[in-house]
Amino acid sequence: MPIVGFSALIIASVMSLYAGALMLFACHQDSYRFYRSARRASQAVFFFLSLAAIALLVALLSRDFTIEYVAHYTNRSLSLFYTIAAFWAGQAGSLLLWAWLLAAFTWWFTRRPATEWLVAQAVAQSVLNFLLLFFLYLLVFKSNPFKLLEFQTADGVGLNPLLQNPAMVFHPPALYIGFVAYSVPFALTAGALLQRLPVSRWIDSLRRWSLFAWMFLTLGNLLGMQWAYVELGWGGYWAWDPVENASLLPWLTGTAMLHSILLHKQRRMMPVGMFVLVFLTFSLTIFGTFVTRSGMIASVHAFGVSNLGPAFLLFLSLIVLGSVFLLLSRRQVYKSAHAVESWTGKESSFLVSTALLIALMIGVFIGTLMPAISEWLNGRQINLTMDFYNQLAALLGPAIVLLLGLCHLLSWHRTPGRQLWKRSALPIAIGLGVALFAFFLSPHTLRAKVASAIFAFSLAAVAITKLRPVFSCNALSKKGLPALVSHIGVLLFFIGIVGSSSHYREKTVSINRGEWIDFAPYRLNYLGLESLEWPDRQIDRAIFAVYSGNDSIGTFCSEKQNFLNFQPATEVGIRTTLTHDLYLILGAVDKENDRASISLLYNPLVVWIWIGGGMMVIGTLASLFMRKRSDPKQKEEM
Amino acid sequence: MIFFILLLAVAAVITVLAPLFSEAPNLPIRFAAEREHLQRLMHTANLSNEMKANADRPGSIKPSSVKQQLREQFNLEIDELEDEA
Repeated sequence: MPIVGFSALIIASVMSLYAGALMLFACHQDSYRFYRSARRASQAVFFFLSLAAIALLVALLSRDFTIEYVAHYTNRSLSLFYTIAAFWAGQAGSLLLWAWLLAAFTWWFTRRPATEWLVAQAVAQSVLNFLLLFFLYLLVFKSNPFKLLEFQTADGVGLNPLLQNPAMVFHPPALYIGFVAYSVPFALTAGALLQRLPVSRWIDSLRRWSLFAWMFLTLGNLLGMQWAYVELGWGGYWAWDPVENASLLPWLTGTAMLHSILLHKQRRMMPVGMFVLVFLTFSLTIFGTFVTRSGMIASVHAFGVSNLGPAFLLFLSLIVLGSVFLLLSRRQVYKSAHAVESWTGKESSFLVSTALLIALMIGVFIGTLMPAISEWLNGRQINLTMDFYNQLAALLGPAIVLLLGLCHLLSWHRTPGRQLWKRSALPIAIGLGVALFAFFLSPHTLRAKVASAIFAFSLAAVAITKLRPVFSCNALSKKGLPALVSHIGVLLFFIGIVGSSSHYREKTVSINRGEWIDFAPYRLNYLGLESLEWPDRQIDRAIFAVYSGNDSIGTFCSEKQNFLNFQPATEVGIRTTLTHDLYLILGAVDKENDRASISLLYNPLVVWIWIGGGMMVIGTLASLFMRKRSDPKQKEEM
Repeated sequence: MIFFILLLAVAAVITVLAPLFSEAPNLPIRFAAEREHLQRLMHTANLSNEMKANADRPGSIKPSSVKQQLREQFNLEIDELEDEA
């Protein structure tokens, strides 16, 4: 099996080089024969990478411990579910997944020749093949998943227990799909710009791929947050870790990019700004991969120190240089059809929200690189704490959410004052009502009170604007439904973050068997410790009976797991309701005296983060299926 | 295993290189997509028995009118396309 997999990688590399080079030559020579040959080579790359992926999967499932990767990430006791997850648990396997996804998207993107922009599509296909060639180079020369083990072993090391969580099985593939899918908008824009193709011809394709990538990136980040919340056992879901930031950066610019595409579709405005966001988003996906794999910045999520850093840095530099060259050389070709007419137009709210998203991105980017920058400048690493990021997000996040609501109240071009007042009176009244309630009756911090008022205003603005057709025409506008779902999802996500970060309560106690703890609206009775012996781990489980008032709501437990091959891990106990989560973390245990140290957390509104995030994904999925074509009359306009 | 992968590699190389030596005309890439689109239209225009049978009915599409339209629109040789279709 190793020889099949490695040979398939080598053949795929040769085919990828051939496809990329010949496709450019075909465009230069205007030759259909060369085009067809290059197209077939590109399809062959997908075939051989699929073969390599199947070879690795078979090796993992059959526990072929002659392969180093299999011996490192599986063992005989690993379940089928997590054996499949071992495919992307390590550096080499995840690179193979990346390459396979890129080949699959290249095939899908070019499965039908584009009638109106065939040459641009061909150039894009060539770009995608060259991108693929880089990952194949890494797989063949730097990080070979089929490398043979130098000694024989009866059993493997196994999968890190922290990765043995359902969210972690789906989180990396979802994130990779999002990251890799951004290659297509990049290649498409590069191809179209090289051909000076009018935007109106290919913007529908750009929109679909951007939506697809954004949806999976959102899903991947959400699953990562869920995994961190459940598995890492510190009570939070986002620690502003460099690797977490690396997946947030393209999400921020990807969000701005989606709105710039919408702005161009509606008003044919700011095409160069849209291209900048496309190139920036793709560059940030590669930057994220560089951070995760270079070992430059320490992180619990990173793959550790590796030899891939210089290669990724060179690759990233080439992408940035190529993008800058394309933008500079084509900026005169693509002109904005309209300028911002008034600050009361919807266009201005789009531009300001894009600026805020970019500002947030720059802040997070600088914060992420700060250890490396400070070490480079004065030889000493400076790590920014979570406070820096929290302050940044607390400043810009509410402003973005406020604009989200305001944008729905504005019309394109300009909004007359009377009309704006008529539309915004009710949302402002609701926002003010919540603000007054929060100021006088709620114990929250000032920041949380302001954020609650902004949330109420924006939710009212979005709901009233979108639901108005229900009262006027007795039917919800089908066209606006996905955006309604997505934007309400963003608002719920926002209120979940505000609630959980500003009003949580924490208590750490050390208790004996039979003792009671009063915490928030709960009373917990410690029932004692239970010790379990599993083949690969020893477990200490603390069990609690939980009461709300006098009503029993069941037993909850938290565990300490000690492994033979890995660091100890904590399994938390979580009770989720619509208003809050009760979160139990087991600390030190004294088995002889049946005594345990336990941390209790009361996390308000956390569930709305998952609900809101889910709504964002569902809304985007619905947008993908509700295709909206450009106006054919605008076809030839740049 | 080695024989299997060699066989696949040879098959892939033949498949990939075949278009370079094919007897089909080496059309410009810029017209290739339009050509495929035209072929589909010609196929519809020429081979649809139902359409031919109902050609005299008012409001039906005439194959000759489609050809004329294509000629005017793309200024291409329709006979060559008909042969391929």
